[in-house]
Amino acid sequence: MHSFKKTIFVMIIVLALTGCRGNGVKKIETELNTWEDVVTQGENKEVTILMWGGNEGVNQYMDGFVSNNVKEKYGITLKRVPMNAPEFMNKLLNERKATVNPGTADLVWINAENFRTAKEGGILWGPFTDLLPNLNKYYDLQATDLSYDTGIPIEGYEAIWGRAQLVLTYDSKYIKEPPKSFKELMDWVKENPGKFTYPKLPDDFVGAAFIRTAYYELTENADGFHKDIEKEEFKQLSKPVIDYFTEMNPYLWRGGRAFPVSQAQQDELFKNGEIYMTMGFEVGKTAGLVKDGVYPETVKSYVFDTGTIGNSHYLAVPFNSPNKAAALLVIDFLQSPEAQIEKFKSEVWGDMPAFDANKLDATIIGQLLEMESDPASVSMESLTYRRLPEMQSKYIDWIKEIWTEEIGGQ
Amino acid sequence: MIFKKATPYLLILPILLLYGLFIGGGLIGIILESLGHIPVLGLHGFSIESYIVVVTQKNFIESFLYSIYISLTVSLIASTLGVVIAYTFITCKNKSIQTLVKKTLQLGLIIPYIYVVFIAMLMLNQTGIFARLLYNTGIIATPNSFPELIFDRKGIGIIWVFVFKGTPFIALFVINVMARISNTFEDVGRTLGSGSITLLRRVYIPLSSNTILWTSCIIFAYALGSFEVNYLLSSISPVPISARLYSLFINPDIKVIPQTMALNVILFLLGGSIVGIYGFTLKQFLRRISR
Repeated sequence: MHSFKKTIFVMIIVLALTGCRGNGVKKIETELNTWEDVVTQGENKEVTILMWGGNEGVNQYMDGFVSNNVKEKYGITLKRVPMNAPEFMNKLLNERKATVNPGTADLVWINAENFRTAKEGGILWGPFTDLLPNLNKYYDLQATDLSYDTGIPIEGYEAIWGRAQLVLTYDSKYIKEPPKSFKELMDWVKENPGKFTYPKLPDDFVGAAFIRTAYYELTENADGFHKDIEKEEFKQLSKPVIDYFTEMNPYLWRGGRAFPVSQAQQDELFKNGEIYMTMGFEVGKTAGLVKDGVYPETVKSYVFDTGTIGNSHYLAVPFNSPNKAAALLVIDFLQSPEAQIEKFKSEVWGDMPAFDANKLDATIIGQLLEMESDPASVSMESLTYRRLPEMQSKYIDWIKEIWTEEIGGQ
Repeated sequence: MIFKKATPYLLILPILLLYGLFIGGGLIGIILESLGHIPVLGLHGFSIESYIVVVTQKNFIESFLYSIYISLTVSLIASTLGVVIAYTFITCKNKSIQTLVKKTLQLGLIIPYIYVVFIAMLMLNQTGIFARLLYNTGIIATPNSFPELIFDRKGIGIIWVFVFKGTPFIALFVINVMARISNTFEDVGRTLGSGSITLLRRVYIPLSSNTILWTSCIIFAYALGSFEVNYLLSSISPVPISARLYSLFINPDIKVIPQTMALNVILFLLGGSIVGIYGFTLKQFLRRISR
């Protein structure tokens, strides 16, 4: 009798285990034709956003300002899950392969090569941007980055959230005159061996953008990166860049035998004084960290005279999002002028707004002008002037490959 | 009667199903994807192209040998330390010291790897605690003359972390086995005039050789296959094979997925065989020293 009970028990466990993958109740997609549909269906739901969590300012902005506002406006509970893009890409691709629907995430923060893969892999829901009121009211719909993300047609599958540009940060206590171009940087690095480095490719976003910036100055082929080039030709084109960084390698931190694995680690090295420069995509981050007392007041940021890569970042809705309407409400709020202005504040995040300043009300423009007068941050004017356009996403892949094989792997 | 005979099998069924479903199923999935067959993502057909791409990649063999070097060093150091600690523990009759040692080992066992990586960065870096200490006491002239102990080509940082985590693991298991070895053996040995080393060699090691063997193999396999420590602390070249696999895994290009899975399969098969060889050799070695 005893063993009989045990057997029953075992059978129950087996059934429970195999039952795990039963068919979840498939949700019937209700049509979202108008914004009213979105509001009625999206209110009082929960929205889970998967996003890179490496910047405390960004995290606080989402958990505080944004979370409170969407709660107040729509009764939406915002849940932020810190996750690097490659990780949520893998998660969503796996869910797609296993046809998991509904999934768990409603929003992702995405751009460039990840967007390409997401679109190719069919893990995004859309098109949805036509529905968004703030986008249609305050944004320049003709802007290139509203139709193309690194050369990939957006076609309504992602909504612009902000614009960023690669910014260099240095401590004026150690560096009186920071190098203003890659040519000057080489001289500077040779004079200060061991005091410069950049985050490791192929995995770090910032490091890859730094190398891409070098392509513009060193190959003198700015237009070429938007036309279609064959891989062989691109490799030929890369020669000056490979030579440049191979020459620089022995003068880098750790003699170029090791690189920081992430931007966060690079910042850490900078904070410890192990290196004299760091870099990042948050225009106002340095000014914010100076205000917070993390960096001394001698720390400043700037961009090269020859320009640095600028790119745009977006929000997208996964194919298996359980609350798509609510996700759209959050996107719309994030695109609103007030959320964009808040995000632009250097002590908050310091990310450039994506709206068209000409379409704004006078009061908002006033706020914008006031913020730009902050002395610790780079002015928006100097940024737009020195902003280099993003390349086609396949070149980004090739550059990572070339770096791994020719520069880093040596 | 038949029912009774089947009971043990039924009892083991859940775990078998679990393994079959998750590991076996996963493995089949991985093999299919490595052959380039992922219909949902628009990849069709079967070919071994991705295997060829992976194997012919620059420095592939180098990466593999480097990983073997790391795991071998780690498991040998950790096993030796573990056995020495365990034996000292057994021979030390002071209860309070024993408790202290055991607690320390348990602590070492439960600290997550990522914290140990962090500790390594804090301590072994050129701006780390040791470097600053030596610099402030004037033993080294500049912080930069502190030797490179992490992100270095010899993998010292990686080995340090794995030894830090592996030693308590082996020591605790071996202590448990050695503690159960009857005192009679020792008494007889002592009467016959054996010293501590002889006792360890001819009594304790032979009687706990199984445990030493499989704990050592686990440490070896883990150092070979796990990526985070390898990824975070390696220099740019050579790259441990598991760190390489992780880089492939997070590559956003869909076309790279088959290659990732191919490397996965290769690592699974080769890794398994290497652990087997390691285990076999270690077994012979343990047998030899107890003679």
